Amino acid sequence: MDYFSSFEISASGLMAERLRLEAVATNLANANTTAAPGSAPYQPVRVVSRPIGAEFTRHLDGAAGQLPAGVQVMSLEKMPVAPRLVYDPKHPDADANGFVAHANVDPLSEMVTMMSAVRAYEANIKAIGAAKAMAQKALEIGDRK
Amino acid sequence: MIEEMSGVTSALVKTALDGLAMQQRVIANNIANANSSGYTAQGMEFEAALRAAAQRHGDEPAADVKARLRQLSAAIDNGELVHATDNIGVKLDIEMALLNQTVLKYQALVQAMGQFGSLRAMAISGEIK
Repeated sequence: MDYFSSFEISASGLMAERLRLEAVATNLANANTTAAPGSAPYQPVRVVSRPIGAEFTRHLDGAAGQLPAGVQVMSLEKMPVAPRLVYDPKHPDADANGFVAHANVDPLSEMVTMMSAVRAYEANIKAIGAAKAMAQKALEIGDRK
Repeated sequence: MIEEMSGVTSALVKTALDGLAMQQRVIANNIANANSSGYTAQGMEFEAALRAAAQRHGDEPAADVKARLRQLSAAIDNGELVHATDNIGVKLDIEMALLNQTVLKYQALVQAMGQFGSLRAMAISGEIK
């Protein structure tokens, strides 16, 4: 049993949550971008993560003996949402009918994702602190009192 | 020689420390996967197995108990006691409570082992400090 694997697990969690946060920031930054007629506007993205070794466990069908190994980011999925059409005939990106295609970013769901990512990030930091406290305490084994 | 002096206590504490360290790892993994969709939380209990392994049957020599504890230690390190729970998703509050509990248990065990060590030191030196 080594502590480094525990640190690695939490580090993978930190990385996944940071990426989730970056995805939210990118979505919000692009919330008001438009697209020229005929092209698709910015599509909001979501981070899809899975536990490492999940495919392997599925083959074993719930058999015990799976060593915890952390989380991996599988992909950055574009959310299948239709563009938000705003009637604005004077806009340079307006189409023949006067509609402008805006990126369809939902601020509400973005904020919720952001909040849960930040909380999960904090929890990962706590888990690192716990592993550190245990490793430090283990150094005291055999100390003369 | 020192092993003989300590009976099964050293092996018992070592196995318990191994179990707690693995438990921490399981909790860390659950937390790392807090936002993974469709993730089922993992769990791990080693206390019952530890109690069973540490039980002395009749006139069984201490070496047998130690061998059982060593076996359990290896099983823990291989993740054989880690199992999937029925909970889909991760309850962060419960994981944090378990995490703190695990660290405290670990620290208490190390503390106890230190005191046991000073008993041994006393036996070796023959004087009370």
